[in-house]
Amino acid sequence: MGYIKMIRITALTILGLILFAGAAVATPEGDRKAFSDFYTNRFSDIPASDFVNGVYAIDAASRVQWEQIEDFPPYELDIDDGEVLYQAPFANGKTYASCFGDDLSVIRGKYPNWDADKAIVMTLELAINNCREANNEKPLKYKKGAIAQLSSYIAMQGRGNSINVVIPADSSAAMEAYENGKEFFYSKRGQLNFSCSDCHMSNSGNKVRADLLSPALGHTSHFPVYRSKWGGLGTLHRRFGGCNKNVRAKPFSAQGEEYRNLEYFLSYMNNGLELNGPGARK
Amino acid sequence: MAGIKAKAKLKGDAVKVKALMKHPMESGLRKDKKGNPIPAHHITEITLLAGGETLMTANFGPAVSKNPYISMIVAGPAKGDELTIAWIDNKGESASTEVVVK
Amino acid sequence: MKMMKKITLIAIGLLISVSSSIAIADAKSDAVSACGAAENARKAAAQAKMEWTTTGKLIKAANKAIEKGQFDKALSACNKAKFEGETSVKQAGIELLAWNSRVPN
Repeated sequence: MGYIKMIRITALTILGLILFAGAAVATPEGDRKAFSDFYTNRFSDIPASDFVNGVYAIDAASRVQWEQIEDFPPYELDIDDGEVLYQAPFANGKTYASCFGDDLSVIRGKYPNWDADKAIVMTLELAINNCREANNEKPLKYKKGAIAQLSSYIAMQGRGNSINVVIPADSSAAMEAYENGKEFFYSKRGQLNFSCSDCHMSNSGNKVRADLLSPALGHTSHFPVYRSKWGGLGTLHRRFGGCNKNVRAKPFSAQGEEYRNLEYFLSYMNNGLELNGPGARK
Repeated sequence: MAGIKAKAKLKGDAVKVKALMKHPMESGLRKDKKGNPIPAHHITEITLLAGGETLMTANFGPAVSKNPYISMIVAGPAKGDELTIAWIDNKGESASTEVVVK
Repeated sequence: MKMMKKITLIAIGLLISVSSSIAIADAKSDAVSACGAAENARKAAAQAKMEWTTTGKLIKAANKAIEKGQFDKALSACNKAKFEGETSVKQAGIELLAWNSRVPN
């Protein structure tokens, strides 16, 4: 048995013993409150709801530039393309509505969720490709292009709804996925040995070279995102991969288990915040 | 629509016209992965017209990046007037769209 | 005597060329086995989900160097890559227990 597996089993056994002993153990809701409180304490004049705007909630100068961009945002062209893609029927005559339903405004808010049948975290982008494959269409690549445009159209339609990620009480597998995402967020990785929390929690608001580190609270609310750096639209998992590369950690596959579990955890941390995608960022 | 989105709003004496233009804006200085130069393909001129009369001309060059955004403030048009924004690029391709002043 | 000197010279020449090709063969096999060990370490890091972007790059560069006959360069790169792979596995082990300390409560 691998060395890592042995340690993992030991750690879980210890956790189990603690639970058995009745000590206080973190629940997702407890996690979420502690997470949110961390940021509202660190940035004390910013209400939790503002964090969906990332650095623009905490830095006045860049907010001015961002508001000017939002006046006529670059992702508008992508939303239009996304609408065309979404409404176009598949070769078999069916449309995306046959998978997602007729009410466009509720689609974005349904993801990510725990898919009990497949026993995995289901994301919007994965659901889009599942829909395509169910209708004999080729799947799309997950980081940019058509998948991002479709996602941007759906995100726009879902703006204003509250994030409400559910971890079904009767599913230990769902809880495990949440815990895996949580562990990923707080684990150091890469040659530079940074965890997501090192930059986006303990150093949020500080600078890394010329950029401000955004708070992790609100991170998932505004995807897909038009990044000036990319000169285009990209998905959440594209951003995860880029961040991992930044600390010299080999990125995981977009829509693979690691990033879907991370999305599950991060989105849960944003429960109660408003969906405001697609977003524009530096 | 041809890849231009435009908005025009009257504020006081002047109309602010904003346009987002879909265009690769290739400078001609870049090279592809094999080292071959990517030919220049960028907007060279943008024109704003009202009733067939040119209100403003902008000369764009290779230094402007992809999908450019332009904001113009012009005096003259009134609410309800229809304006036209058009661009032409170095390959001779062009696009235009109409926008009503709000 | 001239014949003896000729034979001696030829024998010495042969000895030098054989021993230097043995040395080259040694350098090459050292590099190749170091890169084999490095690749194993990289795979272990990948298995632990902690592979660094730098490790694979080092091994790739080292393999190219072997092709060009730059065995010392390859050996050094692969030793470094092996160290990286092993450190990645250690990092994974440490983080398994350390991550929880960063969670706010």
